[in-house]
Amino acid sequence: MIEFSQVSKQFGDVEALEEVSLTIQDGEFVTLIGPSGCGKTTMLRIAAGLEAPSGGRVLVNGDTPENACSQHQIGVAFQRPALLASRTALKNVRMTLEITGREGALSPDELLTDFGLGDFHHHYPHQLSGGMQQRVNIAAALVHNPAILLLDEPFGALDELTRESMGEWLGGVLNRSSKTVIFVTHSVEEATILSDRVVVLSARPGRIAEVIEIGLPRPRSKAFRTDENFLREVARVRSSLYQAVELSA
Amino acid sequence: MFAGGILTSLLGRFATQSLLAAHGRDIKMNERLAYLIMVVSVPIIWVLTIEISGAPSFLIPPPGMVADILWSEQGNLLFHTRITIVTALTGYAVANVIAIALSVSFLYLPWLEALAIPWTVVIKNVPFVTIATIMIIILGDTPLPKIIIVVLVTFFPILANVTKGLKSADSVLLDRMQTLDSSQWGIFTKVRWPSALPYYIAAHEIAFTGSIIGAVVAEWLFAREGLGALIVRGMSQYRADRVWAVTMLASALAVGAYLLVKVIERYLFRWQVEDLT
Repeated sequence: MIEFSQVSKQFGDVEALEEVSLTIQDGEFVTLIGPSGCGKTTMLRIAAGLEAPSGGRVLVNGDTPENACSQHQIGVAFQRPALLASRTALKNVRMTLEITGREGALSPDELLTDFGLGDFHHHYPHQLSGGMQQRVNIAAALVHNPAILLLDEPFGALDELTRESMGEWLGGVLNRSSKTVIFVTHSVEEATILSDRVVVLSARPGRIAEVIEIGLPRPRSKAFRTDENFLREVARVRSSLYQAVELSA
Repeated sequence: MFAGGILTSLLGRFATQSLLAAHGRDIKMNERLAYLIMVVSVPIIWVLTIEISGAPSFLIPPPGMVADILWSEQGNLLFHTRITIVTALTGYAVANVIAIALSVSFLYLPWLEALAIPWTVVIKNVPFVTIATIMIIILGDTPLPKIIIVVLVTFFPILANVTKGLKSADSVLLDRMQTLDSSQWGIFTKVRWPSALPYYIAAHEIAFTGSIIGAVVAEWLFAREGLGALIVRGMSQYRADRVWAVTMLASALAVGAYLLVKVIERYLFRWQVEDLT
């Protein structure tokens, strides 16, 4: 469980977040969406212990984010893959285990093969496509089997079609092993198809404008993208996002 | 000041060469051919210059005469070459240790970097031939002033590059390490140092040849042994053939040092050129 209680964050004069409260249950997939400058990445970084809040506090399973990190409960992946250029895909994934130790961890080989990279274990990052790099990146983020996954626009740099199939792939991965996920994105469709709840933020200052429950059955396959119910939910999230943008202006 | 001029032009020449090599990396096949053409061209240009100018052999000795010196005086030349190499390598090792230690300290103690900047600027920009002269006055014809000169010449490129390289580590990787609760040692060995390595190798490209040049110039200023001393002796005896022989040796040594760095670079970064299988 991740609890944001009245979290504020200032960068100089800029109010990135103002008294944001949000509770994310175990196994829940929550997406943060909003105009740029709404503080969604800041929320994620605070939950990861990479930023300290200026006010309020965040508890991860009842403890500080820093302690959650030292207990290896958190995996993070950003838009830019955090891969070492001089290590192969497999060695990049193994690096996580070299740091955290191997207790309760998944097998890097099996994980990469499971992620459709069976033939690419010994390829270096520059020899992989953007989608493949991101899959290696996510494998490296969850190979130590953390309960919580924090994903900051992991598919933001990919083309539309790759992005869709990566979304479907991630849905499948999480179906097999339940994780608590905070996901940051700009894409309404991506947010809708992946999430249990979508948190719409407005900017200046960053606040929660609306929390939308996505009442759609799982698993949600690619075919589901043209489903009427799905499109209705997308429209709901989109109009909420438009309102949030207006609030920000 | 004459020595300073020589040194500047020497260093300038090597800097240009390193730049050319960097641009030529894409055209590997042509590179070998270009080296071959150069090696063949040197004696041709040499002989042509003598033929056209009609310069006597005591001004420009023909290749055969120089080759003869290289062969007949090889024992003596090797003895002095070894002394130059030992001076260069000792100074270079010291420069590496100091520069890397400082770079690492700068990373963790930013105030130390702020404090050290004026010193490094002075060390880099003070004409080191004058410092060398002062040190030779104080320390005499011992290995120490020569080693110090090599350190002064080679230390700065290593310091600047490694400092920059350590800071160039990808912020995303550093964030990942932090969320995994990595130790500082883990962050250094797994992220910082691998990021700095290409910068470090680039520093060797400039500084390793610089160590040979520094040692030769130091001996040239004041010494009884080493290739630099042989140049002075050859000059005072009006033996252009000896001066040319030493020049050939010193050049081969400096170029060899540069090529060695390139070979090591290619080995270390072989993964960059590996093709998809």
